[in-house]
Amino acid sequence: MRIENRTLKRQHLSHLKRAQKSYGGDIVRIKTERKGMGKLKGMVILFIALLQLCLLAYLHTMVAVAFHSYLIFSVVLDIITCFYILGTSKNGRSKAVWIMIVLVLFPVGFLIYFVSDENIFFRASRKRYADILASSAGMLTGCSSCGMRDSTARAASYIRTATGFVPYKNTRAEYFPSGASAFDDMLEKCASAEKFIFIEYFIVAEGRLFDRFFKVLSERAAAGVDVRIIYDDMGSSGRLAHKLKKQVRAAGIQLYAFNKLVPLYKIGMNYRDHRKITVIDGRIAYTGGINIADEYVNEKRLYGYWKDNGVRLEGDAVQGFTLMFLRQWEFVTKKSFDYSPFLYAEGGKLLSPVSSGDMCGAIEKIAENVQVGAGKTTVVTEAKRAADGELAEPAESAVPLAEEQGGRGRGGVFIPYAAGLEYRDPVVRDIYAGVISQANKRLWIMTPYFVPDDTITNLLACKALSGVDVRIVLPGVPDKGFVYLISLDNADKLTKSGVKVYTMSDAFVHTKSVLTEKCAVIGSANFDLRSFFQQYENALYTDDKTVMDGLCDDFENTFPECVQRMYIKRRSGFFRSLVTAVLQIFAPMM
Amino acid sequence: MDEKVVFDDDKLAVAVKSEQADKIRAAYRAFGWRLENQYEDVRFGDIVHMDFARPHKTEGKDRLQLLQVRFEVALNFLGRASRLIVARAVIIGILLALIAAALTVYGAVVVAFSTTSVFIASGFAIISAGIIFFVLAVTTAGKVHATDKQRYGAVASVLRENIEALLREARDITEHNSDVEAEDAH
Repeated sequence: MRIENRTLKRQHLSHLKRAQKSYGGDIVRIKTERKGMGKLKGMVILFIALLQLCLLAYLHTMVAVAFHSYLIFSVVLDIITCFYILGTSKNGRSKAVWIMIVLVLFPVGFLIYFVSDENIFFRASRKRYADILASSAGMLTGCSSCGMRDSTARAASYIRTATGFVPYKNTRAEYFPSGASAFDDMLEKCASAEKFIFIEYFIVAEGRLFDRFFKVLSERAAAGVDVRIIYDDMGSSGRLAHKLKKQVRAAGIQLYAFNKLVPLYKIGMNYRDHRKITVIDGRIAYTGGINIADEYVNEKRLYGYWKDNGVRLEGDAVQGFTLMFLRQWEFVTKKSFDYSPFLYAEGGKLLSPVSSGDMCGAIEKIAENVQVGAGKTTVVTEAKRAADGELAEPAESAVPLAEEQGGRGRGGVFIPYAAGLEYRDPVVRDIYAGVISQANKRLWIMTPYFVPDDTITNLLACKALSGVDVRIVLPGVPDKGFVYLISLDNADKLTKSGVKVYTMSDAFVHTKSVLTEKCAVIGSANFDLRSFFQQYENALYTDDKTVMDGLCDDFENTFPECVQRMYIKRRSGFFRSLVTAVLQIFAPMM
Repeated sequence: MDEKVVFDDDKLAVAVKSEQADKIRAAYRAFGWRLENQYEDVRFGDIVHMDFARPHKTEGKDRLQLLQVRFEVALNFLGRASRLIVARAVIIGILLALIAAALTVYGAVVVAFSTTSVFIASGFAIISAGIIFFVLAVTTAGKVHATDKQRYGAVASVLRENIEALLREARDITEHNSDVEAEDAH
């Protein structure tokens, strides 16, 4: 009887629940959204790190309270710190913000600055990068005598001097105006890999796209292909389960996290690997704005339609991306090894020939030569000897050359380049500045965030005032509200100089590309200070017609989907202006 | 692996208001989705869950995805618009009614406890002000409701037209795709 009553009660309750009306006015809701945990992990780590900083500041203040003369001493130290900041190579805005922090928090300001100084607390990583760069310098030959137009030659010269990356011809390219088309193509190419697949992305997240990758990569790994993946630990935080990582490793895929998140106040935690690279057999490379996550192929809805792009290269220029990956691999694994089995000389010949059959043997041989640890590498690379002219004659032609492919992209020059803290110069900012300064007719930019420094802002304003068609496409739906507020504020200021600012309706624009009448730049670097100064980025500079036409079509197809900011009634008001002004102060840190 | 990669169908799971279920099912068909499963929500009586599938390689997929997002945004705005029409009127009406009630009560207290005719008169004046505020609350709320109805009505009619245009374009793409498939089959 009691059981019967309980059943009746449950049925009644169920009926009551069924009669309940849903909250909210939405008629349709997509059920692919999953947020929370990933951000939570990052927030907890950030909170613990800040807590440590506060504790340090508190203890320091206690010293100042105990010894009053120490307060005067710390003020003197603050003033000295301000002079030190002014003398650093930081950008102007960063200097201003740091000086403000040091002076406002005067008893502990200098302490906060010095525990955040990359010259002190990032020195070991910088040294390791310097060793890696030194041991792999001169591995890329590129096209030494390819006929380049003046603007490309200048960009090539800068990139070669600042980063060591070189220009290439003999490359075929294809442009993809969406993440879905780029990844479909990438998966098909990965499935036919015979030697190695290198993948380096800021975000690698489990989901349908990753399942597709895992299926293809595990099959290739089982077939003896060397599959390696680098993901950024912050970008992929909470989105790649520990169980899945174990599965991936069990399938024979080498998986490493860049800069693992630890609950410690470390300035190094701020420097993230934002690169987006896939290299297949040293013959094919992909880059663009895309990451391995479902929202990039619009199979997960986060901020409306996700607009992104990618480019595929086949030919000599792939070597630049291979080298970028190998250097990062050496950095994350802390193992030095010989790069030459993975690199080809100009014309598609292996620096150190390895056939697909004996690739595993070669890898074992490399493993024997590996020196574990962060110390200086002692391996004398084949490539180094190649650069010195000691290398034996290459044996096989491995890269299908552009001549046999119709040569549509034969005329173009491709300059893949990396940027980040391993280089002294802000490469991303400098290349964008060079591209902008050389534009005479058209300068079209697509970026998710628009927080440039004064150099870029002034250049854009000057170009627009001098009659260049300057257009900036931004998202219509933001992913980070506060950055969006600054982006719109910065962009709106430029409209006064004649820059046309567009926002793509119902879409989040994640494409990071620039197009002028002379060249195109496609890659991972946003138009913001983090990409300019604090992140590891990569991109492709090219004057190839195929890529430029593809990007041009993409822009022309995107403009009708946008609203021009000048036709939008802008929200203003004291509170909004105040919030924007405060956010602008901290923009260099965003 | 010499053969091409075989992609599984794309999946889409949505929760929709039951009274709109038929329309939404038809709309998603226009975007190339086919219904695989449909079931009622265990908690809310007015929610229906639908699972759709679509071939991974669909011609014009990027465009279809953009159109679909715009369709969903427009549809949800229409859903919210009906609430927005009354929301502002209700808030303003309640605020004015509260002032009216406060004035009336205060006026009544003044009348009840006053000893002089001047205070009694002023008490009645306050009560009158309260009544005026009541009238004001009703008329203002009505006016705001009418204005919002007109405003959101105009927006809604534009959105309905937009939805029609979006669905038409989506149908053109999917019908073109099925024509191509039929030709390939021949």
